[in-house]
Amino acid sequence: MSAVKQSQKLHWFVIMTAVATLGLIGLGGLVTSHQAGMAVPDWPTTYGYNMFFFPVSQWVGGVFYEHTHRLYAAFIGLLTSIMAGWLWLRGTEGRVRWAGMLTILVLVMALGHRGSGQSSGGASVIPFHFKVLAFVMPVLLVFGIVQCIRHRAAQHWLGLTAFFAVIFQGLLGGLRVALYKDEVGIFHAALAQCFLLLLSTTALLTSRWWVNFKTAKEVPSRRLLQASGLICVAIVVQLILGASMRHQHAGLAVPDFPLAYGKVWPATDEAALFEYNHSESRLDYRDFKPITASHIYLHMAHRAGALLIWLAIMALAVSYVRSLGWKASFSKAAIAWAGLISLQAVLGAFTIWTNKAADIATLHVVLGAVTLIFGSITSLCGFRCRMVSVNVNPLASAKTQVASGVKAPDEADLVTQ
Amino acid sequence: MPLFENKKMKTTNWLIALTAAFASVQVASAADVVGKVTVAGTPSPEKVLPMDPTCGKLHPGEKPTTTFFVVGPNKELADVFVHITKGLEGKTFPAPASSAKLDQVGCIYVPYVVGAQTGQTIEVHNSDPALHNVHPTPTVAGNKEANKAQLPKSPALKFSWDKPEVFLRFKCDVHPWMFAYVGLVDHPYYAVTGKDGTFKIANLPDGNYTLEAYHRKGGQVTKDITVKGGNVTVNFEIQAK
Repeated sequence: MSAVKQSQKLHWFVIMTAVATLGLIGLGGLVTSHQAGMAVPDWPTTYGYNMFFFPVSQWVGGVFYEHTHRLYAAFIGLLTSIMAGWLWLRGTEGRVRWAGMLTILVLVMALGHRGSGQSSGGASVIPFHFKVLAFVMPVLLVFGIVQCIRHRAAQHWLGLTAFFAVIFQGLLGGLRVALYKDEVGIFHAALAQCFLLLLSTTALLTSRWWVNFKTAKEVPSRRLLQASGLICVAIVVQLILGASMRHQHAGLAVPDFPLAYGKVWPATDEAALFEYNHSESRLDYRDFKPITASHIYLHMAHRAGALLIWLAIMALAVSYVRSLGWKASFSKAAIAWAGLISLQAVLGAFTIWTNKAADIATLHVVLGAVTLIFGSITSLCGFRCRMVSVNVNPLASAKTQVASGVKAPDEADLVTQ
Repeated sequence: MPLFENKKMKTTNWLIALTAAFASVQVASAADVVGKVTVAGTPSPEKVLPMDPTCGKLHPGEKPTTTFFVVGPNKELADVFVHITKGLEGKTFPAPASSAKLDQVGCIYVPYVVGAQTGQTIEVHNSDPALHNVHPTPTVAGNKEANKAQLPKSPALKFSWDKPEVFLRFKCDVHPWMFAYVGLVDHPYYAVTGKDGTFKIANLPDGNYTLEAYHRKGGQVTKDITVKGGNVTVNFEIQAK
């Protein structure tokens, strides 16, 4: 943990960046929901224009979604660069400080220089240095993550890692357009969620509450915290499954809910697939790709995952109430999390019932991100309370453990610790 | 000299006669396959296209719909790709010099279904006052995907693929209802039914073949045919979905 003095201005700036990023996830969701990911065929240019000078009169149809997504993403890139620089300046000194700032500056300038990135015959030509960056950025991102772990989530490393992530994310978005790869789109969507998680964590760690936290009134048990951490991992997996479904461009692989083609588990043999693909529900102006067995398996895995996560969060909320009581903040947070996941399940059902209406499907993506962030932040708060209580007041921690069914150590043992 | 000229003329006449005779034999060994495709049952109602204001203005007073089943008054079915699927093995056919053409008119691809031969150039025009992206999405290995911008009234874009693919889809991501389908085969014996449901495959050499009528939503129907010295009539019926 960094010993840097807390800054409210910086904290609110990080919050603003995180909230703005949630908006970007929404815009990205709209792009996919409207099947507009390829509406601007060239990158980094837009119909041959520098994207910042593309005429507003041409922002029509799918171009509107894709182009605004690109512009807004550039804005998030700017916010993240400022945030990273700010955190780095505050958290470092001497040569390290200037090396980090130089890295940020060079990378921003490299992105600003479009080089030969002109459209050729209306198609995309990727500038050479962008290709180089596409290989360099994942390495830098991994380096940043390792540094975050090594320096126990030091704020300046969190900021720099977010900066590496945002550049890599931008390149992935462009490469998805230039390389025609849906797989890149899935990775782009998954990294967006992880990036938001990183920003939210940074926002928490720069907060006055986190930095100045001394005593914990309520301390969740280790088991509950581990369970909530595991649920967060499960939500990330669920979000990746969802992103994979959305980037198949096959529409609804299973068009009914709660049953699946009228059964608990749908048939996936050749005859059944032929029937599904030639049913009236497939007469859609969007002309989705044909449904395959793997699309159905993916869809069913997402449903099963949703059910398991919903049950797990419900059980967690009950456990929190039992161990800490109704009035405890963590119990209330767990109940709120249960409410969020229930709402998310309802939105998932409506996504099916409305035949993947763009606004509903996008709201489902956004609420998925909110659910992940809410769970992760409350879990981190729980870990913080536990950490502080163990360091400052081991007895309080032990009493909480008793409440949650964990064997308490003797008071004498605690004194000797 | 006059005698020599006469001889030369006679020789030329003989050559012309022989060529004509050979040509007539050639014509006799090929025939046209003609027919009509009709639909059985009643297709589902077409869906209204959710056109944006820019494209909507290009269709004053109308609400364009999907064209999954274009059916005539007597159940004639248009946009069926009819082609030989068996009987031409081992034969190669050079790609024609002429291009197959697609146009974008009123934010709709015209025609909806077109036939082309592998290696043949497919030209895509934009007659609209709106920009489009032309995005062919082949699925057969070896046929490359592309995505190109096309501003209003800009020159035609040209594409060509080497592997047969029925249907190779063209889409526009700016306008998510815009699609066209190319029946891409490695021989010249194909046709697309018109609004009257008829088709004509010309100059098919004598032999035994399998003829397939493929409607994008109705599916495929095949028939075995024998061509021997005369035109063949083949009718198909495709089940509505």
